Amino acid sequence: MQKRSRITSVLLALVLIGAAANLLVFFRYLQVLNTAQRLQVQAQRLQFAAALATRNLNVMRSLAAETLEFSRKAPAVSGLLLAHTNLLQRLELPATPPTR
Amino acid sequence: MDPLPGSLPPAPAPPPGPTPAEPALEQALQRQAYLVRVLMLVVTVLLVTTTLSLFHQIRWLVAQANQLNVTIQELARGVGDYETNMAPQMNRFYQDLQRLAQANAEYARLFARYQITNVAAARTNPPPAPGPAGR
Repeated sequence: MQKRSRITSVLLALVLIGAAANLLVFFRYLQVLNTAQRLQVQAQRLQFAAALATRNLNVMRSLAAETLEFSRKAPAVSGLLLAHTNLLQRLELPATPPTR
Repeated sequence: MDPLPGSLPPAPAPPPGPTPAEPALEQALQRQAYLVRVLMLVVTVLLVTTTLSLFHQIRWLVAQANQLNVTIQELARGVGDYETNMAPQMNRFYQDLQRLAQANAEYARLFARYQITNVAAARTNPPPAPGPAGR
């Protein structure tokens, strides 16, 4: 009879400890889930900004390339392009129109 | 007092010791105690399983969050570099080209085909629409 009572006490202790551990882990899970969701939102915003930046760079590269082509017909534009040599280099374009 | 003639004799007193109901009650109690123990064991197993499952889920989420953090840092570096270095230069270049387009009709046709969006403005949420004036 005493042995049975001890088994019941041990089982009760196990249930209580298990419930406490479960509760702790559950709160930690909620915390981590919240952080992950916040990071995901941040990543989405940054991905959107990066996509927009890439698009703008491509548009600017095309525009600069066409302006370079245009500067053959209008040499006055070359001065404008030379003022932006740094940007044109970053866009992997020459500051002066290629000679044919 | 003498019993009335024709009436039943009084019932005999119950014998000392356990009645027939007592072993049945004890058996039922033992069965209940057994059921409670089984139930507690099942609950313990369930709790341990849930805890372990949540623990694994947390580890997976933390790994995902770390990976996401690395991605965010790389993206933030790229976007930050664009916003601090490239965007102002592009802006100046674009304004110069805009002036050129205003002066040169042929170039204006070429320029009209291109549209640049302001990244910094797109990144942040648009300001709330002005509501009715407060009192």
